[in-house]
Amino acid sequence: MSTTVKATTSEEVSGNKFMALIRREIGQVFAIAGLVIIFAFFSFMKPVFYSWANVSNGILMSTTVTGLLAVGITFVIITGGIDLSIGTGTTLCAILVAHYVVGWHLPLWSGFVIGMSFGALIGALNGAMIAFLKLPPFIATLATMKAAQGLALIISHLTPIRFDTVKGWESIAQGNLIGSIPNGVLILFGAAIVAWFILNRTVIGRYTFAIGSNGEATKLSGVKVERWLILIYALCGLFVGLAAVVLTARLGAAEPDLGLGYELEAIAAVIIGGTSLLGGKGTISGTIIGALIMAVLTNGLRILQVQQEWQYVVVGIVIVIAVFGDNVRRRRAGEIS
Amino acid sequence: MKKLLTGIAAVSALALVVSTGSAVHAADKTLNLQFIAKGFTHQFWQAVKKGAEDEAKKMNATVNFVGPASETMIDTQLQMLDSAVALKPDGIGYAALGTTESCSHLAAANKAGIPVYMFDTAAKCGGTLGTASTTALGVAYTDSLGAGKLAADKMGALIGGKGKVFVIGHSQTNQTGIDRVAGFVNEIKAKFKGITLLPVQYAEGGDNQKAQDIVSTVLVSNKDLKGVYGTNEGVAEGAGQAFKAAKLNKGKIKLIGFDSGAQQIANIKSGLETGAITQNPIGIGAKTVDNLVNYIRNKTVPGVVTDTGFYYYDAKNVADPKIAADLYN
Repeated sequence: MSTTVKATTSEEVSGNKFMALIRREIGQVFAIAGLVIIFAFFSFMKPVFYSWANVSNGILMSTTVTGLLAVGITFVIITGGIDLSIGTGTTLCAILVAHYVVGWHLPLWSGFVIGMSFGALIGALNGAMIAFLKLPPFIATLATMKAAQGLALIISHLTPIRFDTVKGWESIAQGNLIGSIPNGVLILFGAAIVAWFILNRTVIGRYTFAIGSNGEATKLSGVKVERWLILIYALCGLFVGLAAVVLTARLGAAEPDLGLGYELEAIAAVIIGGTSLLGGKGTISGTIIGALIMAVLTNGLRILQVQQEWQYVVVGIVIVIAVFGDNVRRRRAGEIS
Repeated sequence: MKKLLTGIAAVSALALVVSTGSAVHAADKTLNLQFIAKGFTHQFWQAVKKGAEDEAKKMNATVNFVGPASETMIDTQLQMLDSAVALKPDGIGYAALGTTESCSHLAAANKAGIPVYMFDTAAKCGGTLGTASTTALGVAYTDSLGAGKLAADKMGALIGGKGKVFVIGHSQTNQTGIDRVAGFVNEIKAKFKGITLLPVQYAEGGDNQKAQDIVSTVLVSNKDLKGVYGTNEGVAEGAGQAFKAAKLNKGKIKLIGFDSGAQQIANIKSGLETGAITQNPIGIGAKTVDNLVNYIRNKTVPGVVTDTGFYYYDAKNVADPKIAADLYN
């Protein structure tokens, strides 16, 4: 992943323009460099680490669900908000998808529609609570997180729902449409490209940044911030719904007690990727790199058979280094004081 | 309307009880039992709940069965235990999540004169259990060390006593999780010198997806892996999904799991998973109710340990009535 990004950028621009790009995107360059260094380190320690079998099934596949959640929440975080409900929201969407697709014998594609619709609905609800009830995002989405967890248990009757009657369901994540790249990984990168487009080339993206940079000023300039907030949280929900579909395809079942804590892994990926929790700043590519750094690190530590307890500690330290490093760089660049 | 009628009936019944006073025998009173499990969402706990409720119905008792959302929430579970004590029920069934943390809370129940019988996991509060104990009368559970040992014996036989074996655990902190691993590891080390055990890794809370990621990684870095042992339903199913994703031929690497669940049973029937250890969750629930009710009504002192048993099952005996009775979907 990292090498292809580098290759295309260096082909497109050259000379001074290239240096200017590097300077402008220095945060990303550091993140990619970090990813490359970590990757190289594990490859050196244990060559099997960089085998395609490990990269595809071990690293990329384990990034899919967290990665999709991270891409979705990037929008919310850029507005200066947060969405704690994406973990159990995934659970609820997964259960709803299973409930309808398995229970009503619906075709495979309808799972995407159902999952993403409910995801968007949950997101819109979050947005409405924040925009109209004026609840802080942390509180509103904490409430949704709890409610979603409960509803998932209620609707499923506490029983995992299997997709064994839906032909090809598991291939949504584990099949191979292109070469030997797992479909789940294709979905992640496809979704990331769409998200990049929305964030950088559409009015939604412009307002996402505007609200995060200065919500009051945006409001005063006549933008209906409330409506856009609902839309942005709903957009995040779309990715949550998609993550739910991929998760059930990975597991072959919708598990009613899985998903709590996934929101924190997604948030960690976003902040490692250089998006500021204060809002107004962030990139989709950074988020993907952040998710990959987390996945590479976890996978590498497992391959090296580092004791589990220490794996958690190392991940914690890396989060601190990543964010601290980013802050130091920005301070030098005069972006923050 | 129906509710109103029941309400009137209940009130008049109550009036009758009050007026007749001591004429009502203890045996006629419906006993109120509070059960606090280690989890709630897991199918295993639902089976324990069913066993407890069915047995209670037979014995003129009611069971209120609760448990925290996840098996890592020790503090939530202790609050549930405190609430149960505050309700002053006739008896409490308790599955120890915090094996030492729960001691003072259990002592409070003891002080309030509420008999406690533990199930699934015993608290470790020093001293022996029984009528003199301030902890509990006893415990109905599966001998998890023994169950892990049985899994090791089966694994050893399946792979001819040599090769690499990986253990994926579901908890580093809860006692059954620890014992299922320890029973397995100790038996392999003692009996099968030819088997190399890779370091144990854990998908905390039995997270299927984490288990899948961990096993995928182990498969990649150990091409010569011969067997995987997963210590609960979630991790065993996650391991099965990792086998599928790696497109392994069925049966190439032996997989022994724990408990049942629809997906795990299907995997065993299809040969993706070699076999699993099942406990007797319905028996655990039923025995706990049995022991409590007999003690409250007849002062029959229950055994300090009620071993409810465990079995190994595979594709061949999965339909055997004796096994099937212990499996849940």
